[in-house]
Amino acid sequence: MSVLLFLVVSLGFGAASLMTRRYSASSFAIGLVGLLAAAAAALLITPGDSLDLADSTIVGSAFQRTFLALACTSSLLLCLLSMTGGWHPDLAGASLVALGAGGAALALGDPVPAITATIAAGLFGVIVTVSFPATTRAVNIGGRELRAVAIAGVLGLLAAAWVDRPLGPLAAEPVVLGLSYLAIAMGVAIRFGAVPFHVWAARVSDAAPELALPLLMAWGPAFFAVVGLAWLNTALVPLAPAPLALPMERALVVGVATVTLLLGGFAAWIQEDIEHVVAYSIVQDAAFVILAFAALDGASWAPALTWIVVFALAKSAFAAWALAVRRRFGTRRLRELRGWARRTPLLALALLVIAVATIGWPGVASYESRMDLIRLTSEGPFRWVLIAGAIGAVIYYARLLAVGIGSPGAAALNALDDRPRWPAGVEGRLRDPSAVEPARGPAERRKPVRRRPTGADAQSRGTPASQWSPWLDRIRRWLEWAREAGEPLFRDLAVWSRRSGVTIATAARTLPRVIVPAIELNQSFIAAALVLALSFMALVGALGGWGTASLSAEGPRVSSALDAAR
Amino acid sequence: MSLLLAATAIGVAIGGVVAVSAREPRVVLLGMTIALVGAPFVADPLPGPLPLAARLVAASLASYLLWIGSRAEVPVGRGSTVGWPVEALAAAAGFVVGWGTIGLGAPALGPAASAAAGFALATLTVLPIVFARDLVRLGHGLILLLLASSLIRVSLGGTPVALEELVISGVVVGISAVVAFLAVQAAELSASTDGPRRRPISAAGAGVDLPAG
Repeated sequence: MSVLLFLVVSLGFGAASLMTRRYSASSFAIGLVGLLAAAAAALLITPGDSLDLADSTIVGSAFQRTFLALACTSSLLLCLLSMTGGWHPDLAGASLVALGAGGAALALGDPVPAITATIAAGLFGVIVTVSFPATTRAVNIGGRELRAVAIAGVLGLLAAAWVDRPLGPLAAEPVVLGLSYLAIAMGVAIRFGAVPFHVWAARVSDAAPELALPLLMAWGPAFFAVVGLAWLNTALVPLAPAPLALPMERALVVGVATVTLLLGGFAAWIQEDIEHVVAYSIVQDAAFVILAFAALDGASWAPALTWIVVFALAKSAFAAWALAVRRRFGTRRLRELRGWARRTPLLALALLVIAVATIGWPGVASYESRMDLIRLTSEGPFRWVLIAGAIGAVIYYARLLAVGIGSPGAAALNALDDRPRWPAGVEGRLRDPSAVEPARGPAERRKPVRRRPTGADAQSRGTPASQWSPWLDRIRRWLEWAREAGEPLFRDLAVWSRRSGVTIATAARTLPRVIVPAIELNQSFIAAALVLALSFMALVGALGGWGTASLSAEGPRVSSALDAAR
Repeated sequence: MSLLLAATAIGVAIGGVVAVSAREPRVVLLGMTIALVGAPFVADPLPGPLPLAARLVAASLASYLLWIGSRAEVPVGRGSTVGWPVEALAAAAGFVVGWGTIGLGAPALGPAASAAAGFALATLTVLPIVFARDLVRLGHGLILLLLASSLIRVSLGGTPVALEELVISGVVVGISAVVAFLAVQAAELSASTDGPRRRPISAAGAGVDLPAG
């Protein structure tokens, strides 16, 4: 039931946001609220909570909860970042629909509908690629992207359909297993834009806004990879004992991963456009996901999941960094960005954190997960090639930082620094608090103190004396004393509360006039802070946080359905 | 029943041939609608009433979305570059191959007709997907490819469960929506690289000549 709540929230808000895209501000606001609600709904997913639905079952899992919550939070931060520049009204809605479909894929027990759902998760990224502003080139690139998503999905679909049934003697045929294995592995390679299927990804990096790259090239394909890997480990690995370990097919997949790792890193290193650096770095890091397929071993499941979480978070932060730099300095050309890090230490720190989260060091989850995948797929000198490729990512991060700490160019000199700024009127008031006039009102005027009636007064009004009169008189005196003693206190309290009310009311009237200009004035600072938040999210994941260390204990969801089918 | 199934499968394949070889957007849409509506019926046993209704609603919605994408000022593509007879022959070959290779080496849980229709549609989608530079044609090819894979899946694993039918319905609507979106954008930008040849304006429209003098 908890999974259904997430699906309803994400798909409902996503559909509402996309259907109201004509009213861009409303559409975006719906998307933002939806992302927040979806993140909360993802956190409510209970592992093992199942629901029978339409002759099948959807089940929640710990990985699903972690992955979806992080994906929704990351998307929310990216959308907030887009409000400081790089505005894209469809991003929130498309992210919600993609995450909803991906969440459904992770919850489905049967691999065929799960893979079908991952196609839906990739479809709506096309809208983000094409729209706002739509150009001929962007539309054609959207077509390429759609083709890649559909073909990759269909490959996975056919592979699962072929093997996911009683195979009889066909189960011992290496050709059947090999073709199915290649279909799913190549499908994942196509979705991630691995070399040599990288043309569409390179074009998308040209056309799509920076903030859409994580959705298009990391989060969306990651759903497909997780479902495909789960299916591979539960359907094909048991059918491929040592004699049928598919050496040629595995070598081909390792080759694709190696070429992607080396050439992706090289391409990221030589790019002049920082958005292209981000895109090729995503392609490079996706090579480890493909290596997880090359392992053809259940042991690849845990490191692959850990790496996928770190990869998606780190690349989201890297894309956010690219947008923040472009907005701050007005250019994406690296040669024009000389001295950027001197101007904005916050973004420099964010890039450093992203690099550390991505590359890691021995003993850290992100590093160890990649080394585990390398150990499972290679040996001898070839292993050193892969290790060099893994660590080689440091080259393009170092280049970016080296350019940043160089002598500032014109763009860096003309850009704002990281210091927060106040709107002109507010700054003066903050420096001279006495300029703020104290609130004055009727509560501060002293009222005449009435004289309390005494027993003699009561007598004079003709009140009959009784045996209780001394007691009543005593009680009255006590009350009078209490009133006289408390009156100044109550008066002060009234004055204080009134002053506070006036201050709050003044602030409420003033704040929109202060905050909105302050936000507008400090867009660069806010963007840098959001990028820093994203990069620290990635760092926590890289250090083994977000529960990535315990994800391995939970088997892939599709296993139970396959076991039942057999 | 098998005759009816075979007839439905042939109908789906014919719909595919019409969709990939026609030039006129309305005729293309007719072919797409035939394929989309007919595909869920190529199963033995038929899906339950609810999943079948979901597939039909999805097919109607997908057709409507494609209609939205093809109705106003859409650049007319070239249609099939090899002509409809070649497409029909290729589809027929695919149909026969699919019928003959039912199960792909293992006992099949579904009917041969769905394999035949699936292979026929898959054969038809090769040209639009690999060589088409017209986005609408590419999109139609991808929708047909998705239908083909679902039909082949039916032939291999039998009639899908209801949830799978619902997921397929959602993806069909989703991909149609994205294709329609691309088509509208392409129409606005005249993005067809096949040559932006506009649909001729009918006499009922604005193109009425004024009398000379």
